[in-house]
Amino acid sequence: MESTFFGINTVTFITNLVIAGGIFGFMFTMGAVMSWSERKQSAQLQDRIGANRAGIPLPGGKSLKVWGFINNIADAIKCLVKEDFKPRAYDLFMYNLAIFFAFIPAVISVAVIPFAGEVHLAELFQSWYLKWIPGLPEYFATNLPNYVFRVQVANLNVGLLFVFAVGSISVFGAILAGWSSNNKFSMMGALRACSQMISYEVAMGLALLGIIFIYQTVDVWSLVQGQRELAFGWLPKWGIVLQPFAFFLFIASAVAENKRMPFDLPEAESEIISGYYTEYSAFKMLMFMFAEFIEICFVAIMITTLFFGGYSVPYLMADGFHWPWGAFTAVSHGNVVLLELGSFLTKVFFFCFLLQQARWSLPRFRYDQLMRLGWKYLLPLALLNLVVTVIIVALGGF
Amino acid sequence: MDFNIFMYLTYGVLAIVGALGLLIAKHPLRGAMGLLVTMLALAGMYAQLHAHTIAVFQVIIYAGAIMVLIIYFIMLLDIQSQDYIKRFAPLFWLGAPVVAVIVGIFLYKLMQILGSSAGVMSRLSNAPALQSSESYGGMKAFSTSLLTTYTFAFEYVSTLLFAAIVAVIAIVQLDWKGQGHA
Repeated sequence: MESTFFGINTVTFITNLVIAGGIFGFMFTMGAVMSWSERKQSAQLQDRIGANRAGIPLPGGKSLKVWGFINNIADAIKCLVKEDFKPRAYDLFMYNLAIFFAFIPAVISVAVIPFAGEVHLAELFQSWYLKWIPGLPEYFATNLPNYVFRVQVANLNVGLLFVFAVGSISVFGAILAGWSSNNKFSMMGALRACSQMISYEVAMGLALLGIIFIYQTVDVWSLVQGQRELAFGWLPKWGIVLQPFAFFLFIASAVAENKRMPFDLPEAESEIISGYYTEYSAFKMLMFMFAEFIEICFVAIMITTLFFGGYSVPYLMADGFHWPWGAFTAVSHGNVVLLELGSFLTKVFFFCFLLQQARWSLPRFRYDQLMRLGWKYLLPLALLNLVVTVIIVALGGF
Repeated sequence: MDFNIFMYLTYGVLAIVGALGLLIAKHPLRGAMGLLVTMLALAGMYAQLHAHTIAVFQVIIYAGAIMVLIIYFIMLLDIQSQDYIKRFAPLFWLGAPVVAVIVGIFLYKLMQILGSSAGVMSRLSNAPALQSSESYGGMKAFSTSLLTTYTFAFEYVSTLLFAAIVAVIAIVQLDWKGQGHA
């Protein structure tokens, strides 16, 4: 059992590889799912049908359409094979580099988010959905009876700050794209994106300080652990319960940070075409769109993790439900893992839906309104929230 | 070679490549990107030494705030002509020997250190910083020392920055009042 791979224990290496692959794969899949659901949802709100034509032909004259989901594949193929128009850019190297700056930060910040609690490998393979695999359950039971891992790519003790660090790098994507495109519209979009993202990052960070203060950690894992505790013996200590005001501040500034409607001035179609990615075509344009959809999903993940208890299910502990009235329902380990994953994904999907719904419900801000909201309302309110939180904690609350 | 050491050296090489890029690049924006590479590589080195908090602040403050400001100005000024380089071109012959001497001394010292004691690499991997993590570079340890041992230095530097801001505002206002709008 002492086999190693690059100096790392082989089992650790494989489990980490599976977790990282699964979580990043989930983010990429969500990019596709979000672009589909956005089309369908906007169609519903505008009394249209939406994408429903593309399909994979099946024997018997029917075709597999999955409510328009196959349109995604058609779009991807179209973007791959169509002409890749290149502008006479200032700097082609920067023009191409911008895509990576937009795309990679959107994907990697999910690395510090726990998708489920601690998993006991040997017990997991005793569950009904994995026990049929020949050989493996017995192998893990005899060789690794105590191996425990977390469903989280990187367990950083500065996890929450890591999210902010990565987020601050993603500004470069918009700046470089706008500058290198050699286009006044792109330039305007880049300037708008840059000032907007910097302004709202301040409000977003301050809104979260209350959360950090209450749970006394910036480690995302410990944040979720803190939210699993109960207040008064029955109320889960979720972020929304202890910091309801910060939730609204965070959701507003996160949507602005994401450059989504009603804050989508960097890419306002009626004014500056597509803003900083006007000059990008074919698959490069798709990468920007994809990065934006992944970012929406990541905002939903952040809301879930910080304000809605992450993967936690109320009253569910490692061995089963400890109901507040004293009853106890035992749940096997395999089912606990499934419940936690399911709880996390349900919350994430709900907030993805909510964020998309906001897009078609609100008109776009004017630019001065946007700046006024960020600096004159959200920032002082976030500070006020922090002051009130500090006073309550100092008086012995929470 | 230990994986940590390998990554540490990789970040070191990247930092030097970024710095060279800053010096060599013709266009200011490419130079700025070189500086960005150096800053991110430095953050990687800090993280490799388990100073996670400093690594994250390096990215947030230097890469995320200061570099964005620099690039913002390069982009706004949008200097396309490279005439300004010609003006300083003769200074190359003055600067090159100085740089050569400095680099020479640096390399000589480096060779001396590496040659004098065998097993520098193994000592590096056994350094206490690489062994412990939470108590060394975590958020708690960082905050505690910032608010106890280094409080004066920290506040003193912020006073310096404040003075610099006041100075900048004073200079800008002087221009407004003096020559009219330039």
